[in-house]
Amino acid sequence: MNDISDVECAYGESSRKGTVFIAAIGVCTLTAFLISLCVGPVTIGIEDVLRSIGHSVVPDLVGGPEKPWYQNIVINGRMSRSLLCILCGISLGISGAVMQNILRNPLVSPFTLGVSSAASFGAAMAIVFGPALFGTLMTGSVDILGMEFLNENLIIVLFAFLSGMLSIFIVIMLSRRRDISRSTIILAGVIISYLFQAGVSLAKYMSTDDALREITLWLMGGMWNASWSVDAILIPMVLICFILLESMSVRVNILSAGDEVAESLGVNVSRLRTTGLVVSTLMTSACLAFTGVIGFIGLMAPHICRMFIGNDSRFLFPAASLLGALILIVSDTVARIVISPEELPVGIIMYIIGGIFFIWLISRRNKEVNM
Amino acid sequence: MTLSIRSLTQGYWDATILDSIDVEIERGEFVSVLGPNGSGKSTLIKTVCRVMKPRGGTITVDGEDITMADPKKFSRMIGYVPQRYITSDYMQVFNAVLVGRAPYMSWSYSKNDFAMASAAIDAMGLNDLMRKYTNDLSGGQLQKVIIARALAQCPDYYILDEPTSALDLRNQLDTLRAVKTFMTDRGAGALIALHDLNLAMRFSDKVVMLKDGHVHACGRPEDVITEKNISDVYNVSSEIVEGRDGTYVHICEDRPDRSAIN
Repeated sequence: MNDISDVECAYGESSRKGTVFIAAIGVCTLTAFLISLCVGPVTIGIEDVLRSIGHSVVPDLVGGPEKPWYQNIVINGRMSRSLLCILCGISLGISGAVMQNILRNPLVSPFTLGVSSAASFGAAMAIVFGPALFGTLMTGSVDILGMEFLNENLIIVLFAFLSGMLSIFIVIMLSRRRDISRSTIILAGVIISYLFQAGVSLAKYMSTDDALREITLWLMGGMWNASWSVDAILIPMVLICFILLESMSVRVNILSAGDEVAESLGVNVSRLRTTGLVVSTLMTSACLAFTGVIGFIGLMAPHICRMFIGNDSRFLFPAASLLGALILIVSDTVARIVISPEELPVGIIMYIIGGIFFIWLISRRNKEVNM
Repeated sequence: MTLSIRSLTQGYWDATILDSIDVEIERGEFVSVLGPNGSGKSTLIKTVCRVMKPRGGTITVDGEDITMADPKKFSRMIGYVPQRYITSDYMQVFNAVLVGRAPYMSWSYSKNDFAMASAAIDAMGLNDLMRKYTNDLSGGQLQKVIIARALAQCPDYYILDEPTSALDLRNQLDTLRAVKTFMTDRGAGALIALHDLNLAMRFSDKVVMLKDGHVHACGRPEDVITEKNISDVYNVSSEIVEGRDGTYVHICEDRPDRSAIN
């Protein structure tokens, strides 16, 4: 009976490790979030930051910061932006983990499968051709649950989502074939990216100067579009998608036994694969519609987490989400202060870090890495 | 309590691989499937495990058609060990075995799940490797992990496709002995594709010998594994010899007929 406690013990150990890791990353993310509210062209002390947050939540109980205009900088300037970083990081991190485990391919992520390019393409189309297609519909706003949403933003999200879906549809079709090799999926992703980049180039070519600048910034990837109304669209979306994906995690674990065995263990493999890819694409393409192409987080975050806590999706999904958020918020804060008061597009930083990571990942082992 | 395969027909495109196969497996029975390459062993296994839909005929467990069974229910009927599998990086052995408990869990494992996984790990002699990562294992060790996972699943029937292909002599014997003990202890049955006639002779309660998608012979091992059947099915001559504990198959090398060449 000694052995029983052995398996249970080993399992308990790995669960604890997972929980502790998630908690640690959570604390780091929260700290980074608070720091990101402090730093910038104007440095604001942590006390004033906390006062600003407290004052906007319960104005009667907490007095505002020392200088009243700090309130606006912290809440509307920095916090909405940092929140967008967190939302994007969560989406990219969990999507990468889901895609890697669902396709059992260590090199896939929203970026390498072409979802990022596709979403940007959709967004570019909406920016350039939206006014012509929808006319005044683009300029108005709608009231949903007491929040004001710009029609333009909603249309951009819709377009980004639709074209992100188109790219994942191609991947799903390919993954249905049992004999498809891992490198073929990656190559398909590269080609999908090129196709959509061609579309973006076309949009650029046909656009006005204003739209051109907007698209160019988009492609670099950055947090310029952050605002509370953007966050308000994304928060429920990210939350729901996260819960859906996390609820699939047990079945994703079973998939590690291989398609045929997973099927005999009671999992509907093709349905799981399709839902997982669609949901993760939905959340990433919605986020990327506002930020532009931010590559590699979806690739890096899950791999770093696996090294610490293994491949149990129940722990990996939240861990990769939080780590994605942490990486993005740190990178964005660095991007904001490195040449302050000017700022770098965070996408550029991610390309540099991510590219190096990718090369390291594929050269690390002689044998192939399996999910 | 029977897994019964009745007039099963199966094929790819226009090729017929299996033609009216009839096999009955009682609970507690260890049934081996023998036959040369391409005789349809794997296809039979895959069809029983629902990897392929049967083209004709029925497969039932206690009267219930398994091709129609609810996935969760099916997963308690059939445990499948495929011939080929890929490993998962960053996965420890005990976690890989625990995956076999999937039919019984919703979010986390129960005491019973741990107990079964533990028994399976024990049966396969994997105790020392429990915390290793599956990608660090040798081919034979990995094969045992895959079998342990199926054991932990505790289905009514174990369906194993050449489970000893990566194992050395000692491990082949130990593994099949462990599988047999595990299944008979729990009143389960097994359908196992094997290449080694001697292993089949030693462990089987019943042997099904396939040839070109037909059941060539079926019955007790000593009745099926005969010099005549081996010659008919495998096209090699052999002699059945009495050994220290039971009968053995000794395969003889057929010399090419020199007169035909000259």
